[in-house]
Amino acid sequence: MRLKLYEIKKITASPIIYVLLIAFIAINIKVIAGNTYYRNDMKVLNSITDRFGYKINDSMLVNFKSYYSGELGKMNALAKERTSKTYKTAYDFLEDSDNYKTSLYSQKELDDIKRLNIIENYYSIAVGIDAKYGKIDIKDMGDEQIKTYGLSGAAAATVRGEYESLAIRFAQLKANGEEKALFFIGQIYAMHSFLFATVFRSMIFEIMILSVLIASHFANFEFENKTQALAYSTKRGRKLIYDKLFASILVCLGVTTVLIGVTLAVYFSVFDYSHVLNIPISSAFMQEANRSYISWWNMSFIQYLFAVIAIVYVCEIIFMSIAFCIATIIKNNYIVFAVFALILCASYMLPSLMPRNSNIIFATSFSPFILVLNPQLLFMEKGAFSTFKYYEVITDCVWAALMAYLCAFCTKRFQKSDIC
Amino acid sequence: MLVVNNVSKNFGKFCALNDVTLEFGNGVYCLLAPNGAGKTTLIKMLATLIFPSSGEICYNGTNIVKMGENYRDILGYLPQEFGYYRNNSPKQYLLYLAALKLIEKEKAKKKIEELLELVGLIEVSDKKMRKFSGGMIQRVGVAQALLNDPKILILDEPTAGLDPKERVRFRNLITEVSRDKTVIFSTHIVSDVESIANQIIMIKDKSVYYRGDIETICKKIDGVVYEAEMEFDTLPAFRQQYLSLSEKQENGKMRVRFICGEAPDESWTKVSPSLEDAFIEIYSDAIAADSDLPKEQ
Ligand SMILES: Nc1ncnc2c1ncn2[C@@H]1O[C@H](COP(=O)(O)OP(=O)(O)OP(=O)(O)O)[C@@H](O)[C@H]1O
Ligand SMILES: [Mg+2]
Repeated sequence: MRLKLYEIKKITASPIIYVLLIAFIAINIKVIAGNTYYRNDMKVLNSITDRFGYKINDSMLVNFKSYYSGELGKMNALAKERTSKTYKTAYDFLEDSDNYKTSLYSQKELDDIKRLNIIENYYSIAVGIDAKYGKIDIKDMGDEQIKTYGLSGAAAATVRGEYESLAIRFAQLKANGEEKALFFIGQIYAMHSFLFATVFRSMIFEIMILSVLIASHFANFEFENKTQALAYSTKRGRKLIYDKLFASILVCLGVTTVLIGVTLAVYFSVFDYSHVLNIPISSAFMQEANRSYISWWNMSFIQYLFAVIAIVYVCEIIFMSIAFCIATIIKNNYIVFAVFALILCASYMLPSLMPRNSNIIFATSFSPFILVLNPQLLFMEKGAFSTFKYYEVITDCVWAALMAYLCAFCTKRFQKSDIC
Repeated sequence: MLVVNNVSKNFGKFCALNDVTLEFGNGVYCLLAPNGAGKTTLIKMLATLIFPSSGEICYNGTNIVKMGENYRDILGYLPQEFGYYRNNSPKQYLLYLAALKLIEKEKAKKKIEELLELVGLIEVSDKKMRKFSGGMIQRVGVAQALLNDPKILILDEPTAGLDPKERVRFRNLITEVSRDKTVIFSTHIVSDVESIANQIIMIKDKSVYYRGDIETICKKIDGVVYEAEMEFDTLPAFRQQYLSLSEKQENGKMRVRFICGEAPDESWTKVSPSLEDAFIEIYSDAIAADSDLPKEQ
């Protein structure tokens, strides 16, 4: 234990890790701060859910509608009084430039109408869900993917199979009414992709950099400081590499926790999610562009968040151990970085080099590097190559097992290698 | 008893040592050879940092690689070049190395106190090592080698960078700790050897050239070492003819010490050979070939 502590001190004593950690957190905060202009608009949802709950059903829609009509009536009464005009929607009101003429309406009145416009948006999406989801044909989506990537033969059959099982899940999703839940409107705020694609993806790559740094720093510490002849000829000797692996994992977990912890703490203190934590992640409101988010499991937002965090932890440990294995062979930290980057690029290139008619192409997609590329689509429908139900689980388990084996191999190999 | 059995070491295609066989009992052994002869290579194999390409090294009959930590437990090793953590004090540094040697903390603290006293660094034991001179660092290195009371103490050029006063201290220290131990140290500084080593081992052409005491090796060139005085301008021609061992200026003339196997000139005086003379004679061919190469690191 004493040696493991000494190992951990080797990195905690080095300023680079703090500098990077602080720099990365600063970057993330800046990214989050860049998106705060919606912040107040988003609060409207909280008042809606307070009034009607987040579940959309017939009785809720009736209540919602009567509330909305009431508010619209108030707006029109006001408009009639001031300009003797009436509007069908708050949107039309806001579009009418006459209404902005000086001192016709007070700022407070305009703000209320803007707020009504937001409520209106929620309402119109809510009533349109059934029609929209009725039109979604999952098998068509599969065929679309096959066409996009020019797949044929076994590969096309696999994709068709994937989307067939997804169709079953989609029917289930609708039966559960998972899509009928209020969430920040994706088409306006795009909060799902902001959190999971923008914020999480940058966190993932930041931690990846830190993990590689940590692993190579640990594995090569003695070589960098030229103390290898001393350290590896002591009683503990080359077995020190096991302490190093242990310390790397621990520090990697710690760094991941700090970076994710601080970033998310800032994120959720800026954006109030307290009313939407339990809404299903497949809510129709998530939809941003054309793609509806269809998850394989009935997960709430908070469950989804933790599932993504779990995947991130596992992936970072995998990245760390890849770097560690490289570093047991290559003694130069820069080259370790370069080799790691090469592996990263290679794993992105690999699928495009595979034949489009065989199932090998899917095997190459089961890679942690590809997995973390689109964190907003984890556990969801995400195109031909990785829509499989257990894609995330299989990728993580297979790679974790592979890396466990490789680490065992590399540390064993290290026991027998010359230390010059 | 530490036995090196027909050991060879290749680095890729390059052969650094070829078929070395040696035995070490208790006592002080000195590996004496010029730069690049393979001293460090042999020592690193004795420290299990590198492994023989063929042959084996055994301690009391068991292969040291197989003995693993049991072997390293009785080993004290001072590498030729060793790094240290600049922000550590000798005490911290030694505590860390004691941890690597799996010595209990309390025991280690006491031992470190003792050793720092022994190597004369007790006053600076809490100062950061970044301010230390080369000689002080070297002494910290010696101290760490002794942390675990090793049965086998291996020192790779321990006197490099030490001033004469420190060298004397070092010699005394070695004599003091060498009881019931096998001490192996390498050097190419001949004067270190004469005062402490019981046995010298010379490596030449990748293998053991000589193993024995100092007198015997000196006797090999007994009767052929002379000194003479001559003018400067005759020196180059003289050098061509005889192997010059040392030259120095005296009263406007050159005093040359050299080897001559033939009948001597009567103006020459016969002198008794020193270990240094023997060393130069033995490696004369290698020295001539190496003299224009950059020094090996
Ligand atoms: N890791 C290595 N890879 C390739 N060649 C090596 C390696 N280590 C040593 N050598 C070569 O082996 C030879 C012996 O080197 P070694 O360091 O053992 O000499 P040495 O006797 O200790 O010299 P010095 O007095 O300069 O310390 C040298 O020619 C050196 O270039
Ligand atoms: Mg050497």
